[in-house]
Amino acid sequence: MKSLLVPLALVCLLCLFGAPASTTAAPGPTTLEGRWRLSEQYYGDGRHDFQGPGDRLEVVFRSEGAGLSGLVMWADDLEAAWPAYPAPEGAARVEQVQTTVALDLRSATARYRVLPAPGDDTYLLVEEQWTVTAADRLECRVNLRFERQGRVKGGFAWRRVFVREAGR
Amino acid sequence: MKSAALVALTLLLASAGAVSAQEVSGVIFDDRNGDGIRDADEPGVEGVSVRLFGQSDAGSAVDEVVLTGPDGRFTFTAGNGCYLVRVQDPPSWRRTLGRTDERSEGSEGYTHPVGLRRYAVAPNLLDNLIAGSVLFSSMGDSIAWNWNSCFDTSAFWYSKQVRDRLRCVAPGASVQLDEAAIKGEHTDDLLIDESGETNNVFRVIEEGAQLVAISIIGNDLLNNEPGANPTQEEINVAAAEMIDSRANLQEILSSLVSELPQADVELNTLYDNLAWSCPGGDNQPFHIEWLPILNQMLRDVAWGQTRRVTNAEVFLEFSHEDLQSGCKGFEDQICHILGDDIHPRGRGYRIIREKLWEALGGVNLGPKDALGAASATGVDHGYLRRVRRLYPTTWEVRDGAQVTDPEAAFSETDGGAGASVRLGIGQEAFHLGGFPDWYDEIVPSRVIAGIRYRTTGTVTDDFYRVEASIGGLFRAPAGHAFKPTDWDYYTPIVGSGGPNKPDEDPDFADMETLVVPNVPTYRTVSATLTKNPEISADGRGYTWPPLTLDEVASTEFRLLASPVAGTAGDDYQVVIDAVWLDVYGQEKQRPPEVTGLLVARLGDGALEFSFDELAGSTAYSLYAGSLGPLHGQGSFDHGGGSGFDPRCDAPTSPAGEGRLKTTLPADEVPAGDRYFLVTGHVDGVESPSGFASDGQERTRRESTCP
Repeated sequence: MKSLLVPLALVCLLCLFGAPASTTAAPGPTTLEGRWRLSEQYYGDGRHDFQGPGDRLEVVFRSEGAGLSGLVMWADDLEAAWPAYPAPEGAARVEQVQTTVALDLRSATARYRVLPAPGDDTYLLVEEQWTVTAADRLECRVNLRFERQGRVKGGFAWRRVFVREAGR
Repeated sequence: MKSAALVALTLLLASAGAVSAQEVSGVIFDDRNGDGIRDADEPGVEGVSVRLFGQSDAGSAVDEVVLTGPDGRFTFTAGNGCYLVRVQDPPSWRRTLGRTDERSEGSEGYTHPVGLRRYAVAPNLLDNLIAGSVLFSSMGDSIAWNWNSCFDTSAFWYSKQVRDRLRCVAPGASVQLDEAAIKGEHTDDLLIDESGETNNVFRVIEEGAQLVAISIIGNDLLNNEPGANPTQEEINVAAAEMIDSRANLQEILSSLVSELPQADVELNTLYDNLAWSCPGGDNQPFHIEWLPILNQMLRDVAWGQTRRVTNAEVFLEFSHEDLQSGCKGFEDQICHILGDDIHPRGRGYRIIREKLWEALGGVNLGPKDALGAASATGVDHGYLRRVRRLYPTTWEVRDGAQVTDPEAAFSETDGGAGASVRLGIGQEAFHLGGFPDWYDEIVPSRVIAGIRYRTTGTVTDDFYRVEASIGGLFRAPAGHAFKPTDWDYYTPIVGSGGPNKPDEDPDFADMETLVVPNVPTYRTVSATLTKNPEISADGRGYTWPPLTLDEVASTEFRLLASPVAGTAGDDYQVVIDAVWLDVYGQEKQRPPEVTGLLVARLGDGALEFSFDELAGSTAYSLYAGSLGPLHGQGSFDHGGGSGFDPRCDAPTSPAGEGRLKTTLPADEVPAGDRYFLVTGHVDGVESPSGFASDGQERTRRESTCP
């Protein structure tokens, strides 16, 4: 999936140098497109920011026809196509993936099921809700529910805030 | 040849030592400050029965009982294997906390996954194993579940490990694990009566668990987590949530203890990397200040139950993790991938496994021990002695409560007679107070507030609560700014925080205020009576000072209405057999009464009292009472009710031959027929006023001099 980065970088460079008029456009919600870096993360409605300096999580979105494609990058050199559930050794195996993207490309959702780790029988039911804010930040509400032996056994939520990577 | 013989002898002794060193040993001690650590002035307790039960790796069953020696020591010799140690509580003694050592400043190194062994006891577990079956319920949240984002552990891993260790202890027993915990749940969730899951008190009681291990409360706080620089408003919200959670836990634990009389209940304390991260790590002021308090809440709520609930000291054990060189100890136990940052990694769950095992009295020797230790020394247990049970002497109804026979709540020895209280759908309350302050020989360490009650009629949704409060304030004033040293205004005894509480976080409409609202026969519930901590001398933590006698005496109980708004009131009454305060601590020697009292009228009308000097007395007090009530009703009034203020610390002078005298000037001599008496004060303890002819001590209520 690293190959995705190259054309995406080219697209972004073109945006910067080929379309100077866009830099004077009126401020307002932009789209999901671009490269975003996780800057804050909260549990539920808590106010404590758990995002540590070493917790790298970046996502790159780009429009692709009527849809949206993305790349999720974390740790030093791990990456996977969006939607992905990052894990220490690479993306966790997922199934039942569903994504929806708003026509204006300002919001998107992803739903999927993370398969259990070896030796475990816990599935994660994940729902990501991505929204670009008026301040051009990307917020992602991640709802995780835990399924075991066919029953949902609780869950929790993260509220993630991404900022655009400089120059992108 | 002589030296060779010496060498041979040394080798022989070394060999013998290696065998005898494989032991399980410890001390049962009088833990006067209740901190679980044996201090120099805390003697051993002799004659306590200690049992070692289990299975050696060689395949032999071990079941031995010893009595502690004069120094409180006990020793078992056992081979490699897996065992439970059970200490039989001596009558009137209560086991104190597990070791409460926090960081050992300046020391380095942590022997993962055990730094300090923090032993406790699950009193019924051994009997249940021997009887052949134990249903072990692991309740709580993601910690009980063993979740993390690092995917390096599996569901209920540490509970399964402990289950397997119990199977090792008693191979013939059936030990089944109910994997009850549900991720993300709060203390409130454990009080929601849901079928289809067992992560609530109602279903655990229904299934009849014999061992209940609980890890909960982290999520109560998580959604109310203040930011890095918390405002007072944020702190108030978080403090309200903690206080609400404490009430929830009191209802959870007290219900499990009373409704599962053969079960053991265990409550984990809450590890927190944001309180004790490495210097320069992600320490948060709120966590540093409040998490030690939250964890003391957990210990107190466990300690005060009618049957001691044991604590797995996860919080304190994790605090030791900071000591590893390179400052990676604690952080290395937490899963840090992508903002998880709160759940333990597999390494961290190993620590929790060990703390739970120790909390149950588990001891492994040899390869089965987490550190491969061949012996377990220091299997110490502190105990506190109950020195007196105090009963109230006053009562009051408020806001329309109705009571019949209120003074029946002053005693348990009245054949079960109770004060019958009818509440309503408002703020009706019945208060009990006036606890004795004259037992000055008592040196309290910890105090438990208890109630024995039942109900008549039917409670459906208009509930009731029982609380105690030092000073009787019960709640912080409106707009109060909560601080770590100023938050504790009441002790919940009966009743959870309630549905949709606290007001700051009203999300649990379905939870139950009472697990057992209708109580047809007398039920006993108790709780540790608590007060605010103080900042420690070094300013780095807290001390939890013992209650003073004045604080004990100022304590009030209240039974109050907790109705559902907008519904017709339920028709029921709460019948209180008695409430009490159990004072645990020490008892000083009481001096004998002052003897040889003589009274002489001097020429100027003054009265001179002479009496035998009382050895060790540093002060004397002169009392005067009225003879009329004494002769008429047999009642004394010398404590001040007779119109004569006692002369506390009265000036004395030598009267010769080991006698002293004190003088009451003529203008201070009380009118009417009077009786006089003199008391002495030795080491802060006042001597008796005297004894009746039947040997009964005269009322101590009137001994009002400090």
